[in-house]
Amino acid sequence: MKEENKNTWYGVVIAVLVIVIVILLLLTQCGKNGNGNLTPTGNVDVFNIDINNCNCDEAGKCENKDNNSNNKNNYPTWKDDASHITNQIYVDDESGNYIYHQDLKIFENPYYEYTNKIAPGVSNSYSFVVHNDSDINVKYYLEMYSECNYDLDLKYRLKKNGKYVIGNDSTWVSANELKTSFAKLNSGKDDTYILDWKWEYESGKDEKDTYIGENMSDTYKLKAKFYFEQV
Amino acid sequence: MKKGSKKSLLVVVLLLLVGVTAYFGVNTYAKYVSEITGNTGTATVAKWAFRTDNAAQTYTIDLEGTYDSTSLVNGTIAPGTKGSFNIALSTANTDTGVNWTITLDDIANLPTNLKFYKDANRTVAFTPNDSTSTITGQLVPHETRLNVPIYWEWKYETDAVATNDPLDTTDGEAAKTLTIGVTVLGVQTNPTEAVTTHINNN
Repeated sequence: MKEENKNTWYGVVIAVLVIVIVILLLLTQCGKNGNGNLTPTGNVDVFNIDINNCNCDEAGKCENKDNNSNNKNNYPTWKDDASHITNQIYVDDESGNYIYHQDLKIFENPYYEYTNKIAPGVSNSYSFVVHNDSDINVKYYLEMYSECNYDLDLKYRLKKNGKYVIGNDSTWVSANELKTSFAKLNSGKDDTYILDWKWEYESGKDEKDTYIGENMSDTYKLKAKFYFEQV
Repeated sequence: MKKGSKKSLLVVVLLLLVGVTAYFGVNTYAKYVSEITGNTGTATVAKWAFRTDNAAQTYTIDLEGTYDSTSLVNGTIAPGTKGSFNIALSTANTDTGVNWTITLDDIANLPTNLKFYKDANRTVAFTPNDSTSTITGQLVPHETRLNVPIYWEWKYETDAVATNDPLDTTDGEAAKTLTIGVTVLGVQTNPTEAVTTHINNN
């Protein structure tokens, strides 16, 4: 009898665990939409930076293309004034939110009347801010990389909130070293960055610089990428 | 099956079920991720196209075409003649300033008493084949043209007449076809420094 009770007990436990597993499987697999993204349920905030789903003018006034007042897609609510977007994680500079302008004025400098023309001896700094106006804490990293058919000897260093995170007072790095490690950004906080860049006047590479000055007709590009993840 | 084996099997199964449950439990609620990409800073490189009239860094000048006609003797270069020629510089298609330097190369068959000068008064010597004897200056960006004059003179009466007159006679024949090698070097100015178009007083 005792043995039978034990066996029954074991059977019940196994059955319960199997049921729990099946339920969990159903929750994970059935929640996926066509893009393979999870659609969380419950009282959570969804953020998705998707510039293709916003109809915005140059001044930053915009409206969600989904005119359903119930906001079925769960996209963030846009404010009329782009500079006061809340419930968002975003990056901006003096020109505004990165969502609204793809061209960054990194290389504008006073030596060429604040155009983006550069030559050996030219340098400047560029500032941008990472904002976490959402209700969740995140961690993120940023990465910058160059695209150019010529090997320009541009050097960089990066400060975050006043402290060097890449390079230092005496050390500059090339563009392919412009990548930070993951850093936490809590809800309601900002990180301010200053990117210093320069093209050395006395680099010892006069022949290469001269060749570039005589022959280069296309542009040098420095691209930026930011990756955010909830913590 | 023995009782012990049954129990062991059951424990293993239970542990597996717990492990699977824990795995799915952890991963049921996926975290949010997002990226911002596509933003680009673009730079244009300043053009470098420093040029001389000859479009070459080193070139030659036929002295015969540079003399001051009022000083000619029977239409030839001879003692007592003088003249000048210009080296034309340009940064018309250059986006930077230029520090430039002109030197005279070694000149074959140069009459002994034919001298070059940097000034119209012919007081400051400009010596061929001497790296320390240079004419220098600057050009601002997009300067169409700067003419740098070089003066020469073959003095009529030099010291030691008894020695130099025979030399002058011999040299006079060669001077008619004299060509001058000129080298022009241009270096970009530092953008942090002010630049003006000028010829230095050397």
